[in-house]
Amino acid sequence: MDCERKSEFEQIKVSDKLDAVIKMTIEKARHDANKIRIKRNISNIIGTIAASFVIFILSINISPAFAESVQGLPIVSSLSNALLFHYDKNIANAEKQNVKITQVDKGINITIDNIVSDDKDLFILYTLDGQLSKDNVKNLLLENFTLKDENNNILLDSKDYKSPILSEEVEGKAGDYIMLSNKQYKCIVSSLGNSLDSFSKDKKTFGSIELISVSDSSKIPNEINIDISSLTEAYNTKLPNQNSSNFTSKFNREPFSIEGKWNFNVKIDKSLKSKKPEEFSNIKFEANNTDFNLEYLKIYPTHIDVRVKLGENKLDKSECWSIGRKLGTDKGEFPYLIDELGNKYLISGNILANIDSNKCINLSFGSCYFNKNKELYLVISQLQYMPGPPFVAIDPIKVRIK
Amino acid sequence: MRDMETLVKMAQKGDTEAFTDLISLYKENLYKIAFVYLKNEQDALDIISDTVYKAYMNIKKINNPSFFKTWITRILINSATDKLKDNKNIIYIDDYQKLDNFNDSEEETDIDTSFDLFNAVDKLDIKFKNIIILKYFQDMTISEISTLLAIPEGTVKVYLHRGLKKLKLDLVEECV
Repeated sequence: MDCERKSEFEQIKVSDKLDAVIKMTIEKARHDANKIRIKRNISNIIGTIAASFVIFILSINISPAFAESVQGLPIVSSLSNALLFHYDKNIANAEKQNVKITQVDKGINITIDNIVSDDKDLFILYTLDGQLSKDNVKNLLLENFTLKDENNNILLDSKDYKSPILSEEVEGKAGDYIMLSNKQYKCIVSSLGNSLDSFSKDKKTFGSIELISVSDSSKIPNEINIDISSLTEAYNTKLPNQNSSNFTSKFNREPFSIEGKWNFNVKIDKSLKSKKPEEFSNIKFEANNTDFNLEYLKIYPTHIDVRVKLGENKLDKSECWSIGRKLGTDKGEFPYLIDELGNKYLISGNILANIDSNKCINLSFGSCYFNKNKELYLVISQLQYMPGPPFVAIDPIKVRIK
Repeated sequence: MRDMETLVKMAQKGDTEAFTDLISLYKENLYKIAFVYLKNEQDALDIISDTVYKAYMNIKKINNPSFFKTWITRILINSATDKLKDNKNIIYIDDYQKLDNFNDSEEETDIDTSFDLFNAVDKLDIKFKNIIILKYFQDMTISEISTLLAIPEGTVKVYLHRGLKKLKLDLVEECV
């Protein structure tokens, strides 16, 4: 029986076109694979460069007006100022968790004052007090630290990738900054309280550590361990206004580091963390002959999650794969949210989000949660298509969310 | 020609020539399987094209090069199954869950061996058809079929038994 069936199977005539079909298919697959590889390489390059700029994350946090005004403010208002620095518009309504834990080492008090958190972002507000230090410190900045979850898994380490470039908005403004990133998180350490010029007055300063989840798999944990192992007088970065050579020329010596152990364990208030977002969904709009559907927009305390389904151009059938992406310091062509008062909420989190298998893109923006605004719009002024040029500039469209 | 495992490793490194050689080793067999499923030249060629494309794009995912034949056959069967679904040639049978109490000893069947299985198999539900084709046209063992289709060996045996039984019934009806 088997022989007969096998024989019958063997007798199936193989199509004369088989070789041609295989050859053509392999050629197409090779071409497509090359295209995908090139696209991936470009994405990697973009990622590397973009990680250097990190302008968008900073831009949501930086109010130039505040940056200027923050200098010289008394320490007592540091927390309010730090929150104002981040929330910018409506500090009175921002809900923060009081922590007030102080650790002392080498005559330096570090206090974790407050945290503000949701599932994606965590602000840790701290003060540094060098009054008891025997060293004649000229300034205090966080230098080496790790942020760990409740199981001591490292979320972010100060040895992670450090951006060598600051955005235009921050350049020349008061404050010292470190921008760190790894695959799961980004972190901005903003030392806001005093500069080299003003620290000597009261030997105190303050700032914030912002931890931002940039991947779907990373969350802000229920507990956070903050292990600080050194402070420095000046960051040794290539940033124009934060170069340690400024310190050297001013004080005729190299800035020194103060090594010590300041460890904190902070349980994150679940009620704050699990705040229900204000949600909007299924808002359809059209731009450049392409249909889009804003599947949802969720306003959380520290960020806004947006998911947009991208369609294809009805004229040339090219597929839209992004609603704005550009290298360099010009952020004007990225999508942003804007309220009725003209307050802008710019892209944060992962700025390189890729289109997923459902042809959707997930983006994260700064939050207007505490602002109680009546209107909110999504503004898009650039689209990307495949195949097509790097981007298509369009007349900015304003999609009303609420 | 270099051995299959070497070809797979070279193809995984992006050697298109090695991949072409690899496909040449199995192309006729793959075409015939596709033809058994689709019963026409153009559809079979479509399935081959689909299979070769997917294989090229995903060959790096093979951990063990010796499984290449099994792997590409599975791609082909999945493509063929999808094509059949598109063609709405399938009648779904939902009573497989009732086979829990099936006795393995029933696997042995004394079905008449003289019928034209090649044509009759086309009438089978896709689940039975997969097993019959792999068992009787590809000479695969129950274990190999189980690995290829990622279903338990017991299920393979059940499907084989049910498939053969249905074939027998169909053929009896045709004779009548």
